[in-house]
Amino acid sequence: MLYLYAFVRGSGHLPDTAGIAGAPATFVPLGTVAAVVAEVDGALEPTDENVLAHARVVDALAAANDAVLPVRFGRGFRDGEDLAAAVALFAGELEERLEELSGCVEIGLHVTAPAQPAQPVASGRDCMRHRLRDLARIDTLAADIHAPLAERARAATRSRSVGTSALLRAAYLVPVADVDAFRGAVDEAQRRYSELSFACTGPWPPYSFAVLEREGAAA
Amino acid sequence: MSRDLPLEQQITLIELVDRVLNKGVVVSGDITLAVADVDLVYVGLRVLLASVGTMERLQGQPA
Amino acid sequence: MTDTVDRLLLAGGDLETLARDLEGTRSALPRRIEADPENVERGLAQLVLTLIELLRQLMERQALRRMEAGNLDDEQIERLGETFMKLEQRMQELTEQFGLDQRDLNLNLGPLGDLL
Repeated sequence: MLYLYAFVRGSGHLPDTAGIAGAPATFVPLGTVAAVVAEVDGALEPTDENVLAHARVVDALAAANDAVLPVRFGRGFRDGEDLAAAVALFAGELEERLEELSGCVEIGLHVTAPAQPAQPVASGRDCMRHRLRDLARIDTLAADIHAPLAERARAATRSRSVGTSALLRAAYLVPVADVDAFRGAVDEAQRRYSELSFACTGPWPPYSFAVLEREGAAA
Repeated sequence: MSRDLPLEQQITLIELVDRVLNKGVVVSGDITLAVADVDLVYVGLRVLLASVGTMERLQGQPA
Repeated sequence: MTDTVDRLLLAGGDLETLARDLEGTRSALPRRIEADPENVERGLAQLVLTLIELLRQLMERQALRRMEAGNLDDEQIERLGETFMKLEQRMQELTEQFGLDQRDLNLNLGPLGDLL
């Protein structure tokens, strides 16, 4: 099977990298884009080892190329023909996406609020009112932090997961040259909201912005 | 495994794994080579199956 | 263990909280299922309680939205509030009973999270 790591431009560079199971990554030119693939033996488990190997290949590509479109873990094709056939449907979009992502990296942000001690309330009605107020406060806080950062980035995405204690989980697409300034802005936000916990990670290859419209559910 | 790492590394590792498994392009027409699309319910069912087995074994044990 | 470049650009505040919150993400990620029976029961309790907690939060949010929109009368608000309080208390008891703490009930649903 052909395991797919990422797409780059047809004129892109493939650094010498061993991927999953030590299999070397190779280039498959497909018109104006190129797929970076490797031969694998069949089913793969998402073990730390395999996941890290996948990440390593994508990282190496990002270091050697202006534009990389990372592919999700675990995607394969029967052979080169199948790959070419699938890509033919998307070639235009792949090219566009690569253009949008070129010269950029992803910066991740994760902000949590300290656990609030449960407030003793007199009635069910008070309980509801307090909850409403808390929710509104959290929403406002998250927006206050996210908006100015999104403004600075080429693109931004926010995750709204129910059932986590995260105030904000977001990813920002930032041109490489602007990373330091962006980081400064996050630093500033952290100082302003010192009671919150901030984790800013990156730079990542633009996984969170690697979305094809036609695939349906976006990441 | 991750709990043995210093917190900073834990955070980075989880962010990495989340990106590789949950983000990134999915080109339709491909074959899923990994069980990466197993959703929460499936994971839950497998845990349930394993635990039913455990309970049955435990029931056989002396109090 | 990770041979990727150190990517924590900035971390402030309580790293423990952050790591624990993210650990919820990690446990939701498809991984090789641990077949260790010792952990399974606790793991099962954690899963079940997390799902209940998730449902509770969803329902609470629903109720709050309706309250905000003015669709509930005083009696309904009072009843809902009381029920949520009782439920929260019961959840706390169950959580303690299984040797878990609030932060263990913290599952990020990844792509599903966006749908809610």
